Amino acid sequence: MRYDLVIIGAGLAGMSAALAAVKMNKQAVVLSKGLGSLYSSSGYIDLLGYYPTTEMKPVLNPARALDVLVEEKPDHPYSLVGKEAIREAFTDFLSISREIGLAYSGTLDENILMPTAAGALIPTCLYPETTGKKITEAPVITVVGIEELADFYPDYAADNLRHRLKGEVKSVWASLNIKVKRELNSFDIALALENFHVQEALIKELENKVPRNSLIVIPAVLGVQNWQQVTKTIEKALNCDVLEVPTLPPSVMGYRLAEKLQQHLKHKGVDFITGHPVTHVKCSGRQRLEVGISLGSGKLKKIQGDSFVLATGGILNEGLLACPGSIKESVFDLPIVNDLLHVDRDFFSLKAQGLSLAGVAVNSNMQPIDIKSGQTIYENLRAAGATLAGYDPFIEKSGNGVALASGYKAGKLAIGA
Amino acid sequence: MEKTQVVVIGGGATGTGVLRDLALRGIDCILLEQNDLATGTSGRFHGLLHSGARYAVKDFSSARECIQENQIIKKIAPDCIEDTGGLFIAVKGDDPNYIKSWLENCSLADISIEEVSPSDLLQTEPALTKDISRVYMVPDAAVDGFSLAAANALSARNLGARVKTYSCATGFKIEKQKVRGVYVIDRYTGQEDYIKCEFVVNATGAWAGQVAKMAGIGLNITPDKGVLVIFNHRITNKVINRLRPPGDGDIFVPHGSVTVFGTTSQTTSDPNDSEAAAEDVLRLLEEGKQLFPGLDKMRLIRAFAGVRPLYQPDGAGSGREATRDFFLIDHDRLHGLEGMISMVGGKLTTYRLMAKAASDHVSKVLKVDKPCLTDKEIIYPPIPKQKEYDNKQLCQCERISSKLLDLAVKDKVRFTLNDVRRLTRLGMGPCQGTFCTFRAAGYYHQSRSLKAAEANKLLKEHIQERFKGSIPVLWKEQAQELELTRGIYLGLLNLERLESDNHEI
Repeated sequence: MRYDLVIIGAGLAGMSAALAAVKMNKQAVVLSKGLGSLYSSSGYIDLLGYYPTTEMKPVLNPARALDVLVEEKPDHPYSLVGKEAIREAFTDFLSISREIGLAYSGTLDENILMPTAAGALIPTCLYPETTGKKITEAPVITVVGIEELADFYPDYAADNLRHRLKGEVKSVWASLNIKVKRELNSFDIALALENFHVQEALIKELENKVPRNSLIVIPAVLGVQNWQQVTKTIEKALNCDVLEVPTLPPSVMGYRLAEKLQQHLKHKGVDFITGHPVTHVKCSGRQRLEVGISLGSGKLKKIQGDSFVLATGGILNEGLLACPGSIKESVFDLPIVNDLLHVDRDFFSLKAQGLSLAGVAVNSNMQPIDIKSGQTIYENLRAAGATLAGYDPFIEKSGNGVALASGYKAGKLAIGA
Repeated sequence: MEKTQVVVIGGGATGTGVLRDLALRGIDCILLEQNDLATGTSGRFHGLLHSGARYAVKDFSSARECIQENQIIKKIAPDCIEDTGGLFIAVKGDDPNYIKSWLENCSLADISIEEVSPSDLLQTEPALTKDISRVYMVPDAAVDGFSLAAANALSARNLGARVKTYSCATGFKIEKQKVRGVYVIDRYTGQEDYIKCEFVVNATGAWAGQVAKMAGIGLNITPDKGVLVIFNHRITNKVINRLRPPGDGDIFVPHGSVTVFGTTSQTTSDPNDSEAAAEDVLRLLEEGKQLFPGLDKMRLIRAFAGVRPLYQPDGAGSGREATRDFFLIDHDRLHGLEGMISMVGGKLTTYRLMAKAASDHVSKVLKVDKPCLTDKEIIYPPIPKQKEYDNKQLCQCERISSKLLDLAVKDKVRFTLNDVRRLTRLGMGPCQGTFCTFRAAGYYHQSRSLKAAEANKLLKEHIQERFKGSIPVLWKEQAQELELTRGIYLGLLNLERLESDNHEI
């Protein structure tokens, strides 16, 4: 069959493009070689945490910081997407999040500070409703570690938090009494905590250790499917608020969002073909494109569409391939804005790294362009997310925001809306 | 002020070897090392315990020393060795005359060699080129320079010797043409101290010229830089050498879960010059492809450089031409300065022999009539090689449990994760610390009651050090790994701005 929209990549950018397509009742397919990066992301939708990137203090009002960014950095993906489309993408996402049963809170006009697993604070503007508890205002905070989990150290997180919060911060360990002969990751624990008896064990461990009315800060392991219920059960039993913290991959908070979005899109008729890379591209002139995916059997399956959105990610997710001295776009071999010479030798530098800045250049219609001439390469191809050049999501704290906004705009324009 | 009979400067294989040798003879001694043990050349080489075959043609006396020491080290330091065996491989077009003299000299040097059929070899080492003409098995092995130095130091400490790491010798007290003591600074605290002694052994390798200069002596050390790379898997299960005159990019050594490949040879003026460049790496890969055709497709995880402490007595050759023999420089005889010798040249395989020569000399001067015993007893590194299964593995690549992390810092007042890594291999595997650095920092914060700032420093220094080594190989999977690490430590944990959102400070 022929699709209205063929999306390559199943991360937040790809799903956001698909959301735009289903909104207009268009037929879309999402092709991806893996599960998509959303599964390992924090689950926060951060618009802009720091601007300029070298700034140490977080942005308080991201929408206002965006006004400045658009003026100062015309090549930044946000400038190309435009303020209006960004606001629309975020507003739409908030309403869809309620529809899919994973309600998000927040606005573009305020960043709130969330604790990280190391006990730093990180700004974000949209966050799951269940995490909508302001740690900066809590008078008593108890950081809880799970003994079976190797990826969270409550004393360490609490010690760092103590230096940046006014409230009283303590830390405790809790054992879930899970007997297995290996260390567990957050996904394992989240699955275990779906079980009522394991929840009971956790509550029992915490009963005498957690002061009433404190804000419990706990790694995001409170269930994969039923976290709302698990959170409420614990809150009620301990008479406390519970705030989950995103963990090192696998990230349960990212997993929940990815699953809910995918279920929603499938329900709305979007096809997902997962596990096969796009290895074949055919084009005629600057207009038509056809892609093919390699199946496990070695066969090539061809997929036709009126329009295409490339949302394969950056270097991390293999949308871009770094080679000695150059960077390549992995599906269409599109031209790359490449600043490879810039390797900042300080890992914790606040200057953008060349590897993150590199990417595909697009115009304000999100169409990839030739860097010198500015000419569109394929009329019916658009790019979104980390494939785009001109920003470093890791120090800017803008990764999911760029993915959401650019994916939405690319999807919307691709279906001719 | 402290007092001892002998101060040994340099905590590499030679220095720790001298310390142990002296301690076994009942001589009181202190070791000074400006960084951690084996942070110089002893920790920055290919980790090859030579059979001597590499030097059989060009440096026959080195070859003989190597094979004798090879057998002794395998016996006394089994936990520091992986006895892989080694192969010398000639490919089509390699000089048959060289092979002939190599065979003759190996036999003269008593290096046991056994010819292997190329087709048999390809069964067990399938990544090798099909163009092999001749293959010989030799008793090469992989040696862990970090644990070898640590094992020597531990053995010496058990005999009463004192080991001071992060302690830098800053000068000598010289009276009446005799060294009376060493000035030293603690690099952590800045505390200055003086150690009164009867004798000093300068075992600082590539730094020997700098140390001798503090005693007013000129020593012609030409540091020679060698670049090496690490692949994220075992390309081979045996040490692989090219059967040709020693050159660049012809040694592969499997270590734990990775493979070290090198080297290059380039004279440098600075013994601290440990940086590799992408061009060095690409050149090495080009060479190595002759033995492993798919080499440039394999995943690199880092590149580093070590500095050979080559010594040129009188305008002798440099680089690959310079001898790998070691020299005992008697400053009394040569420069009229009593109470100090410098050990220069040599290589890790012959460290024990260097230590013996130094200790024999010191014993004679101090009139201690005790023989060398270093070839008699087995030494053990602080972390045992056979790791029992423990269900809390904090580093899953190298299988390092919290128990081993405890063991690695047991005797330490202060430490870095880099120190822990050298003892345990924490963060040395494919993920290069991406996951285990956070865990180790969090773990030590609690188990060692560290302050938040101290744990943050542990974490950041280790991530930075692992990053530094990946810069020359930032492409393909390693570029991806960097982005993952940035995603976690910057994007998720926000550690780059940790101090900025501070209410109190």
